[in-house]
Amino acid sequence: MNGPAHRMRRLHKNGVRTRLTVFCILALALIACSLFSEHLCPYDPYAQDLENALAAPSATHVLGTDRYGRDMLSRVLIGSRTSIASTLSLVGIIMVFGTAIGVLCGWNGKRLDSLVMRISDMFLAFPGLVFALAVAGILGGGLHNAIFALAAISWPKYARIARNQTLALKEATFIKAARLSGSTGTEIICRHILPNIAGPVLVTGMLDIGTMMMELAGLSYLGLGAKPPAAEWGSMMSDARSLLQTVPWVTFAPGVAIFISVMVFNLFGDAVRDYLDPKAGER
Amino acid sequence: MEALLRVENLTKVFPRQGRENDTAVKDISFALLPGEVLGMIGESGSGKTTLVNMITRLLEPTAGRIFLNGEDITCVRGRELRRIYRSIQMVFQSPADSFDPRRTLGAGIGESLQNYGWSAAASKKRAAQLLELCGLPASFSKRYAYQVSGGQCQRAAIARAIAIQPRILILDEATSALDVTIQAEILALLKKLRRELDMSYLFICHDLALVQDFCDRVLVMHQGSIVEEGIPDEVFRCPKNEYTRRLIESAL
Repeated sequence: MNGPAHRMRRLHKNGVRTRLTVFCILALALIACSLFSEHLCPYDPYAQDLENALAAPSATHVLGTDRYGRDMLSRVLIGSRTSIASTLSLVGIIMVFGTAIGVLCGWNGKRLDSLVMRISDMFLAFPGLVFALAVAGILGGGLHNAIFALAAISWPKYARIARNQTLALKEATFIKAARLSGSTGTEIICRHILPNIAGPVLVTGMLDIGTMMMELAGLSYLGLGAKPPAAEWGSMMSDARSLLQTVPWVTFAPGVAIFISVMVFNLFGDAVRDYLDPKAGER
Repeated sequence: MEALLRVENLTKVFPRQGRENDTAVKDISFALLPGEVLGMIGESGSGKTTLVNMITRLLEPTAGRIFLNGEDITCVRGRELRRIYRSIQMVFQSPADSFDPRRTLGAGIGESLQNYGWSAAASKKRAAQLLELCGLPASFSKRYAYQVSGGQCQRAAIARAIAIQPRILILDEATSALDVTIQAEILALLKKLRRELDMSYLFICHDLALVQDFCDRVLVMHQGSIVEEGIPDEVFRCPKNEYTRRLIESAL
């Protein structure tokens, strides 16, 4: 196998691997930023300095200050903790919870399956963010409630994927062979089903990080997520939107932060998907 | 002689919505004696696989009883099934699909051993021995199913099936997916294992010559029923049933 097609495929594979490495490093850098944000902040992100309010970017305040004179760079950095950490935990929750439900439905079938799938149909019938707004509105503001609202509307996607994959695997010969080996249902799920469906579920999760980050910031922007004075990118933008024409940097700083993080996580998700896709060449 | 496995009036009906129900297996009774190789032939769709899936309890029978050593196992469920799988094992038709693509052959063979109380280390060692018994190098236990050929994979599948030393081995078209020379090798292996491990085989096949060569007794299945039963040579020399006659003629 040394034809041009093969060489093309290998080149493509190398490209994918490079992309995966680059975006993996960038994503890890963002996560590290949010983890160590306390130590990276040049100033206390909550210390007000009214005399210095709305200062333009300068050597002392690289991204300027907001209307209370708080250092924007520090606030964006500390805000990354809320945004990135809560997005990752949100995606983690729905991935585990949705997959568990989906596998149980697919494996047990019958009445549980029809019941849960009808419920998930109901959830899928609503436009996502609108439903999340309603849930967050009912529960009241706060970051935890926003995460809960988004989790409540996002699990059906994972349940669907896990269920369909489980249904397909259930009929596979190697699952029958595992039964004959004396493995019980739980053992088969842990040993054979979960490892075999992990790929598609993980890729979906990776691709969802960006979307979830946007939606979480969106809820905060609308006042249903993190509450002031807590630094969170969505609520920071909302806070500064009336000043957009006079002091744009106060809106731009968190906006660009959202843009970069969403972009990096989305491209990372794409790279993971391409890497795991068998059609992209040999591993 | 007491039958090892006895099947009485076993029936499987698949409900079909809006159409007539599909009776895959119709009121079948037969017995498998200790040490015997019982062949079962019939065209595809004649209910052979449905029948063995019921015997191995992968499929719930609609009616009828299954006895293992005189014990009724028709209603055994859950963890209790382990007791049955200690005696009955099966080798499947498609070797490549019968191992988990994400686990090594050794892990697949060791799975049953661990379920029956072997430690991880002991079952790993035993899996390598079993592979050697089935004519493969011990190093194959570290390979994946897609890294070995069909015949090698079927040897590994046989190694898995005999791991917990069953009394009965069901071979569901176990040689059908292999080419002729490999088929002969697998048959030789099966003959050797039977001598060494004292097993009975239920050998399902659609190749008449193979059945004639390998089996002590043969059942002919057609449309879910057993239409003829006897010693292979006699059945093939003077078939009593019209369908058997057609089957033999079409093979020639």
